[in-house]
Amino acid sequence: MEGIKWGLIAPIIVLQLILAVIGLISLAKAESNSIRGPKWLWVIIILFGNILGSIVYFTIGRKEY
Amino acid sequence: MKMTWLMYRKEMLEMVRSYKLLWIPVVFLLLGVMQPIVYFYLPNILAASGDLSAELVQNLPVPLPSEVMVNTLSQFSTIGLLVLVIAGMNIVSGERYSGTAALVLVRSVPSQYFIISKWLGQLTLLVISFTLGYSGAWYYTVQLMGPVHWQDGLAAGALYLLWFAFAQSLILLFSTLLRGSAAAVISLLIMAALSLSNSLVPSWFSWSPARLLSDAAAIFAGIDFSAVAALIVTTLGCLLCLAASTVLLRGQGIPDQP
Repeated sequence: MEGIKWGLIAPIIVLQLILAVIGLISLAKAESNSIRGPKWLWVIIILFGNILGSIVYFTIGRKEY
Repeated sequence: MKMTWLMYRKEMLEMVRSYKLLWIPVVFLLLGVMQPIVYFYLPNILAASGDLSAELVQNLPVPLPSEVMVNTLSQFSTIGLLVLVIAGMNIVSGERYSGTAALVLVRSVPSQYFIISKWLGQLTLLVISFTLGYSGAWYYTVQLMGPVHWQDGLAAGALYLLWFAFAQSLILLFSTLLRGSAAAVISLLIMAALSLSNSLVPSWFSWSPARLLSDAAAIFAGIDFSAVAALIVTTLGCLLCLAASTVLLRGQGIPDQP
């Protein structure tokens, strides 16, 4: 793995962190009846699903009305 | 004018509260930054996967800056479009079923202001996200691959932006007609049909909005922009969608609250 410039990869990692943090904040603030499925499941999906996990949470995880 | 501005501000406030104004730009930025970096490290990634001989990996051609830009744009038009459509699918129907529309429209807010402010709100979100993602991709492409001709880059980006605006007008129209998920599916099907038909028989569809996408790629290949008809049809299509949604919203009346 030598020869990889971590300065290049860092923005991706930071952005993914930001995305996950926004997701977790939104999840923590939401009422549990406005979330599809149990909250702890979404925590796992957001943390381990990389970019897709957060997208799935934001798009179909929340009931918008 | 004043009413549209008021409604528009309400729209933006709602986007901040639902975190849309945060997560969609971040997703676009991530998509844009990831693409050039993946291309740059493609030899390393292939070598690490271990299936290819070292010689083959070493002789892998370095992609041109223009190729990387075209690929980033097509990434936006698949994943980015999906995200935008799903995020916007409840834009009108959500308000109708939650009763917000009834509350707003009963105060003599004409439906055209309602629709236009929604559309402007969506457009703002789109422009912010797309600009962020595209400039991220551009910056990394220049740093890693080499210079991109700035006129080509701007022209191609503008064409994609228009295609996205068309997609958003479609989703707005279907969202006034149907419930959220049905609206998303139909808009995505229409967009897919347009780009499929354009790639299968390009000569018949020189006016199709999907022509904007192939033209954006052609610009990077050094071919001059030609599809003026597609530009006009797409702009008219956006306006038509707006007008139709206004008429439909007016005709619907307000449903009884569940």
